[in-house]
Amino acid sequence: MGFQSKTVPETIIEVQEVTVDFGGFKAINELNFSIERGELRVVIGPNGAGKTTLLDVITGKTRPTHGRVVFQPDSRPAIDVSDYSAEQIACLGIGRKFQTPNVFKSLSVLENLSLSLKSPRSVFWSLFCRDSADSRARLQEVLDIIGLGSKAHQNAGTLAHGEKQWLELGMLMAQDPELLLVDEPVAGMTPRESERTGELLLAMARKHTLLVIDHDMTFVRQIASKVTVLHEGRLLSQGTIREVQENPKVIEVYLGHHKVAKRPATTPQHAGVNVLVAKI
Amino acid sequence: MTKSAPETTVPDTHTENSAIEASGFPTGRFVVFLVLLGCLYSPAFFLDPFYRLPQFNRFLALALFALSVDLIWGYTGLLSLGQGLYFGIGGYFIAYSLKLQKAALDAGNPAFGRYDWGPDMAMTDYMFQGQLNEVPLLIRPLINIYTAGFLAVLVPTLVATFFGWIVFRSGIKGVYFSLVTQALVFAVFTIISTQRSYTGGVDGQPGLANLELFEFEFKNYFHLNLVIVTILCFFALLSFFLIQSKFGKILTAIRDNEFRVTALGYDTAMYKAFVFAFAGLMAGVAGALSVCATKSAGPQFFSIEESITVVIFVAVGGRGTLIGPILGALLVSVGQDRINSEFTQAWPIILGCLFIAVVVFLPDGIVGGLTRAAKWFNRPALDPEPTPT
Repeated sequence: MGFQSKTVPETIIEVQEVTVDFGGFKAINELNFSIERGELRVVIGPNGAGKTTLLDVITGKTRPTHGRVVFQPDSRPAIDVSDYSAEQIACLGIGRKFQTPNVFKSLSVLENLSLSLKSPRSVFWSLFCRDSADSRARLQEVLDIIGLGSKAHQNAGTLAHGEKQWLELGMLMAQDPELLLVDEPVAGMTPRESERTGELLLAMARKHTLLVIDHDMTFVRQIASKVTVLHEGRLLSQGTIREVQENPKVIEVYLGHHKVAKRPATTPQHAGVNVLVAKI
Repeated sequence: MTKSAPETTVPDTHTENSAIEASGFPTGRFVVFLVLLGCLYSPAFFLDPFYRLPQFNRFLALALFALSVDLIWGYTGLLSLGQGLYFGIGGYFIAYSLKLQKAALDAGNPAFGRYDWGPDMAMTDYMFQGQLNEVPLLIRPLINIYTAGFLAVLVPTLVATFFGWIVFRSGIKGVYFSLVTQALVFAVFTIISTQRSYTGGVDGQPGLANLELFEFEFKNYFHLNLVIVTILCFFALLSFFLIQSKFGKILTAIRDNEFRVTALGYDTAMYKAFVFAFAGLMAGVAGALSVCATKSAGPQFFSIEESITVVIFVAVGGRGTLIGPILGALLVSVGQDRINSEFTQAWPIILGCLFIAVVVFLPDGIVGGLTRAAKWFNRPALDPEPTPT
């Protein structure tokens, strides 16, 4: 599904031997990980596996203690981005959707999208530019895809939780990055909203390379072609969702959690693990 | 299946048109804004020209000062507690010029015209008292009002650019930013008030000459009022266009969620430094106009009270609106004047209470409160159906 690269599969991002050490706690431990251009990759793993830290490292929010992150933009030489600043990395073409909705609440939906549009980022340009017909068409296209056309002039702060998440996905689409990192897009969504989000991500995957983090197995099943499992900052397993589910190490990790979780039983978190184990 | 295929129906095309049109220039709001600014010309026609009008001129200069704070605080979320620095710098340049002119006129040396400068130019009273032998070299050229005016605009802008660049580059934010700005203005206050023979010290520079531009002497406060109102309107309109531009939207975005703006690839430090420099320029002009209006300058420009008072103007009027700071500056200043004439000493207490009251009951200030009231009255007409999600 995801493999749609025009040429030979080419690595777009490569995390090489990366360690992130938070004062003794290794959130990521000598991790090697790469994604090919055009892929839709899902990263799963128990709490504390280092999923969000991995995104922080790629986007420059956290500096790796050791190791390199090599980004290969289209038609440009590969770059080691591990010492670039967050906005430089964003300009290179890596976009990110955060776990909680991160929209500009006192700007309208349209303005949120318009600021995200791929365009020069200089102060001078922002003072004198006007949105071209092209960019307006692009904005309309994005509005249609995320289904917020009727709320284009509403303040983003007044949107419902799910709509904010879609708006943020829309902002990523407008930004049109080469690599898109999406952190738990369906957290707190109803099953219907979550399905709609899956469709959005699949639509986006036609044009972009996506890295999605999630817990929700129904959702992962809906979108994933290739899954990476992280555990304690290391890569535990990688493959199709079927291969991963049959991998004894993965079962061990989740079963281990299951055993610990057995006594307090049915808090929602543990219920999630139970569902996962049942699926496995 | 292409992305937009299922969505391209007739109603959607309609949405597109309306979306694009309405996202353009807010003509309605602009007209209201113009009318309100136009009203600022009117008080000059009925105010007492010898007492009230010069006072009103000073309030207008303070309104411009408040507008500069609104741009950085109301729109960008940077609470500067030291904006008086730029106001004071602008003011002192003009004050030097008018003070030296006054000294030249009083000395009545026929060899020296009003704008001529040299080693034996007339010294100001505080320089005499400070036992200087001649006017310090760097102060001499300021007797030319054009030089002084140019520097009154340029220097605050440069100082603000430099300061903003360093502070925002090093990622100083929030309350730390406020404290740094306040520390800076306090340091300058200390220097100005102790270097009496160069700056006039705590007494400042009272008794200035009338402003003279292009051989026209502003003896009459009415003419000065026209100039001040016009300059205020110019900056208000400039701010309006600034806020409407993409730049303005980015400022609001920085206020809402700076990290997200960075993640979109904008260099927020550059944006903040730019708007801080622009606000510095406006504050410098405001200081210059205030000195022309009151014909005096003093170290209180650099005092912490001055910088905080202007923040209160903005809070009372309504931050994040352009008419709010102007309204707030005028209303609070008029209130201050009335209360000071009845009960001296009571003002700081009343100002503090006012600030608390505004924060608790009117968090968006008067203009925000009025907007909310208007929305509330129009509720049945505007009410959209509850969002189905």
